[in-house]
Amino acid sequence: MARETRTELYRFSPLVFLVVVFSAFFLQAYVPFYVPAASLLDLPLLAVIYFALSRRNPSTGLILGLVVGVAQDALTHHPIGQYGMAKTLVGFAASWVGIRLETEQPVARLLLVLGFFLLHQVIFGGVEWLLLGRPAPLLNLQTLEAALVTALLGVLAFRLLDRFRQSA
Amino acid sequence: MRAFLERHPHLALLVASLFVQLLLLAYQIKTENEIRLLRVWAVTLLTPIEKVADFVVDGTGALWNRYIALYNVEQENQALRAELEQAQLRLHSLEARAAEAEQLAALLALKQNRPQEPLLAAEVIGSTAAATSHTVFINRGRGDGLRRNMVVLTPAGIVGKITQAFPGAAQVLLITDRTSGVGAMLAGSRVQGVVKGTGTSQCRLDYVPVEENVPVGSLVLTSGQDQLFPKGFPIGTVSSARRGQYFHEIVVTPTARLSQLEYVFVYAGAPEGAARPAEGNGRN
Repeated sequence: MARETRTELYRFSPLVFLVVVFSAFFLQAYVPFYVPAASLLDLPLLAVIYFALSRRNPSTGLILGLVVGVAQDALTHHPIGQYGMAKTLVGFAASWVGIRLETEQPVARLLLVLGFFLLHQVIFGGVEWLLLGRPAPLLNLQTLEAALVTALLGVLAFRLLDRFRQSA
Repeated sequence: MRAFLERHPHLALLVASLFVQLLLLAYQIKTENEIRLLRVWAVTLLTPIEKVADFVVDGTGALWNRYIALYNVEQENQALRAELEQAQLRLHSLEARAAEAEQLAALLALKQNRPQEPLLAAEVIGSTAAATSHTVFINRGRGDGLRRNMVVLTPAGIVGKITQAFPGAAQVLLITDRTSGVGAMLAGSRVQGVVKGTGTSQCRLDYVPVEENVPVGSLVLTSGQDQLFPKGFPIGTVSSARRGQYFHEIVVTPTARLSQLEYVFVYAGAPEGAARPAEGNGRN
């Protein structure tokens, strides 16, 4: 891992961005029909984390998280803003980390996705608890399993997405 | 603020986006009472401010009204005092008239209850100038047919008798005068005696044997034995009774308010020639 001066910025074609995000939503919606356990994954979150880490711009990262999160809220029964707030914070945090750390290594990516997934769950659960008055366990074994699977999937997906990025 | 925005644009954007989403959430979420969370927050946030503002405004208003804006209070105070004094004078006047009307009504009732007895109403116009003499003057005199020894009374009880009849006025000797004596009897036991004046506001009842029971509070009536005062008029009530060697020493408080007489009746049924002084047997 290295400081910001040694990290590299990447750009993506808008088409890649749109295809990736839509694919994440599509897969998130239809895969659980065939593999129920896949409902524990959060593929749009992976997209946010990847683009935020790569772009290394907090504003871009938080706006990306905001857009993806609000879109996810719109596709669920949750009030608009619940996923939005969680993914906004994750997008900001991922960009902030991407500026300061080298995030190209698989292990680093694994740990980062794992951490951001848990952070996302904590924020999401916190909003549900504080605003909706529905206390729920923020972290449990199932969440940890989902975080680990999402992190492993993220390492693979990030490697695939690296093919579509361009140096800024 | 601007410096913060320029120095931390990403953080400012993060806070703004979170804030907007928070408001959006609060707008969508409703409490158990179907009130939007945003409204609850707004009310919760604004209520203390409104309370503080209300406190400040009220306090300022009270401070102004009670301590600063008092330039008219002195005049208003004086006007109110003058108005209060006038009202008190008017009240006293009305109270006096009410008392007067009450007395007149009592006198009228007395006259109506004794239609066969010649009662002449009179007003007390003055009292004696000497402390040792319990007499008053009334505004009726010889010209009205009054004669010496005519009985003067009120609805509450007897007052005394006329000692001097002038053309336009008459002098009345009160039953409390030392020289006064009235034939009396106890209302309950009908035991007779003589009520004599003591020179004070009270009288005494003499010649009641010690064998007789004399309860305090007993009513003392005229007995008519003196052939001056008609029988059955109240004289007073027994205030105290103490056994003497042969007779009781009984103190009687007149039922007529002799110190506050204003209107009286003159019992004109006892002409001067028929009246007899109450000397000897306790009679005046």
